Amino acid sequence: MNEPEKFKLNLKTVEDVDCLYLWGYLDAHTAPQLESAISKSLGNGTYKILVNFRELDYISSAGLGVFMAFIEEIRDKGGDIKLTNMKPKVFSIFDLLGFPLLFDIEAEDKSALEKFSFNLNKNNE
Amino acid sequence: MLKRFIDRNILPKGFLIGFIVFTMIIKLVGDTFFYVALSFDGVTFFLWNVVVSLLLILLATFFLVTKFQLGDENEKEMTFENYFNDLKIIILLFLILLIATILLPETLKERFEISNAIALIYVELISLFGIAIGFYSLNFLYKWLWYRRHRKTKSYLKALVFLICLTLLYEISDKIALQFSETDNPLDFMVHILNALGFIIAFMTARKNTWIAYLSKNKKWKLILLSVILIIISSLIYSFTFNSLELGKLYHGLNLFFGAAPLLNFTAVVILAYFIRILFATFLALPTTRIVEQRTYELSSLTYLNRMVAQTTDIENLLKTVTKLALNSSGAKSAWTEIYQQDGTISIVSSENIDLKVVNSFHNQNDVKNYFISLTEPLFIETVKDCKEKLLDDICCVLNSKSLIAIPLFAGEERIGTLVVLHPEEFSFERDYINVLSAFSDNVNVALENTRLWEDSLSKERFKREMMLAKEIELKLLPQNLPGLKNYSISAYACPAEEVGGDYYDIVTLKNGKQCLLIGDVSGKGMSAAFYMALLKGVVLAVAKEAVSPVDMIKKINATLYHVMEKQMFITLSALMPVDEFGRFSFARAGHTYAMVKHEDSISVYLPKGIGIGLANYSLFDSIIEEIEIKLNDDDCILLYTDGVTELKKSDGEEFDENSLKQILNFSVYNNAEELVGNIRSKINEFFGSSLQKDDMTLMAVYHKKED
Repeated sequence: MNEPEKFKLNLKTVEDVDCLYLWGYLDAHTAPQLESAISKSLGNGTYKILVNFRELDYISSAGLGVFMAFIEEIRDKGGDIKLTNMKPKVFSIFDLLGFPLLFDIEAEDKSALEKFSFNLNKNNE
Repeated sequence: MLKRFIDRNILPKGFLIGFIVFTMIIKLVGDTFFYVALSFDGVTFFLWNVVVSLLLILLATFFLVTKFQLGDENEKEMTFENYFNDLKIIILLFLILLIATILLPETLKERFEISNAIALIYVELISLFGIAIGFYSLNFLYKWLWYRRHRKTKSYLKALVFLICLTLLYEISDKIALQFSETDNPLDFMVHILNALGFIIAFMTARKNTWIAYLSKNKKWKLILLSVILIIISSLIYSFTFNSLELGKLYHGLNLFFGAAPLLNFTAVVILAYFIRILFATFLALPTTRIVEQRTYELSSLTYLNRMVAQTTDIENLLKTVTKLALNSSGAKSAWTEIYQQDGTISIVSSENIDLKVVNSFHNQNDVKNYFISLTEPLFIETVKDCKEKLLDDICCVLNSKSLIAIPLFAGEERIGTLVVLHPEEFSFERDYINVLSAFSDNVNVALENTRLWEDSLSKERFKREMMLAKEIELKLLPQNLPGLKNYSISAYACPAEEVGGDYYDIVTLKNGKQCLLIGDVSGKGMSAAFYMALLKGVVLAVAKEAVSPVDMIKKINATLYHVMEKQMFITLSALMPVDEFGRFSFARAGHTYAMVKHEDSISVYLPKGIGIGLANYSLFDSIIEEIEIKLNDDDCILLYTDGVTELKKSDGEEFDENSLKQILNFSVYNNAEELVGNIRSKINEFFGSSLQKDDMTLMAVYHKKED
């Protein structure tokens, strides 16, 4: 398979949050890559995941399904998946489905990270 | 020109022969007349002789030439058996001629002195017989030289015919000269030159003798014997031209037929040349007989195997054949083929001359078991004494063998078995047997690959059939036709991306008797989406009779499905219910695309709150979803669709999206829902062929038209 890559992701850990930066097209072919990245974080015991959509051009139902597959388990362990920096077209796909009511979708990483520490503080109180 | 003459069948072969025989009978009768009435010395007799002889020569040449043009003999007749039989007949005929000549009555020892009628007939018959042998032998040579011909054969044979004609014509001219003058012809030596040329050309024509190499040893010796006999006979006959021998005189006494003697001489010379060549070729081919026999066997084994591979899927049978062929062609005394199963066991599928118990006992010892399996290249042991592996020494000891070849068998890249051949003596295998045995194993490889491919192809066919069946069934889950409602025209269109898909539309009757239109989209596409679509339909049918409104319907659907759906699956759904006949609708949406509505000359979109089905349980789901009212005026229209419709893109970049839909809804010409759907479809069709349909597509339109 020598097709040009249509999806890439980078991992950056900020404090105790794994930040995944997505690039390209997230569909049925490339969704498994996202799946294994999230599984890896969970395997390392990190339940705080931030997903940055700044470089993502398209997401299909398969991509959306990846988040649904993990969210219950993550929230049960006290963590969360927060989504940031979506392009308008991508955001409208999430919006139509009602994701903003299920997930924190932030404009910037900063506010999402703040929310993570806020929750932490809240739990500590 | 001659060929055209013959092709038009003006003189068929039978007719020609008849004519020749008829002429001979005339000659016989005529000669008798001369003997009785006149003498043989007159010019009349001489002229008579010349004319009849010329006629015969002409006819015979004609006959010979027709043989040329008729081309190849029947292939089936050209066997070695027939060759040897022909040879024996020729030898027999020549012997008869020789004996007949020796038994000539004394009275004929002078030229043309025939003392009685019986002698005359005797001489005529011998001459005729001599001519017949001549033609028969020449025919034999022509047949077999033409069968194994080379580039120049045709020219050489033509040259030989030409030389024969020359010889005969010379003979006639010589006789004429002799008749009218007493001196000897100074060109007497011409005959010998012509005969020598005949010898050389015949020798050169008999060039292609590779067929001799393929004869068995016995046949070769037989050929040598027959060749020697014919060489002796033809030399004898040729020597008759030299009058020094007593027999030579007799021979020239047979001059009632002009041309009989020179023809026989020429034949003798040509036969001599041919068989000298054959004799040499056979001698030279004697030493390599064994190896040629072997190579021939190997080749025919391979051909046989090739054919078997193409026709059979019975691998066990194939391996049995391979073992047998390997045994025979390598000269081995015993052989076996073992197969390695998936579960690690080894089974012997075929063996020749070997005690299976012994081989099986080997396989119970792990190191032996692993030894053959681990081979990736053929193993060649000329003598176990030189062998470094003590293991092999043990094996050979028990199996009473001193040399061994083992060939690994493959199916593609996978090791599936080993073929082993053994011999009780050392150094009994030629090194190049490995090539032949490897060729056998390649055949096995091909056969196994073929079987695999064939099975793959069968299951692909089966799969395709299943998919087509699934497609038919799924189509039946969607309404076959949408009922007309008063004042509303409804039309829908669905197109899955693959054979089956996850898009859904329906019309159901609610508890209050009202109709409710549904349109939905299962996440993903293909088989798994189709299963969920069927599940959705089932749930819809179950809850419809208890639901009182679109939003109620959707809540009940989510409550039922949320717990049975996989975590990453979700369904988007919209429900539209006409409240009355005057354009009022209730509308609820669960994560689906908005409803596009044409009011007068503008487009509005309706996006009531609601998350997708399967994303949250009833408490969250029900708290979010809302129902709204849509009011249509006369000629207004509602359009529902799935997102596959608005994700179309051409290779040149042109997209078909929400705006494109709005354009068609607002500006295209239509008087009912069908026409609107038709307009959208024709626009969408432009996008087919240049782009793959990425997602399932569905459309549903409701057009409000007050009926009078």
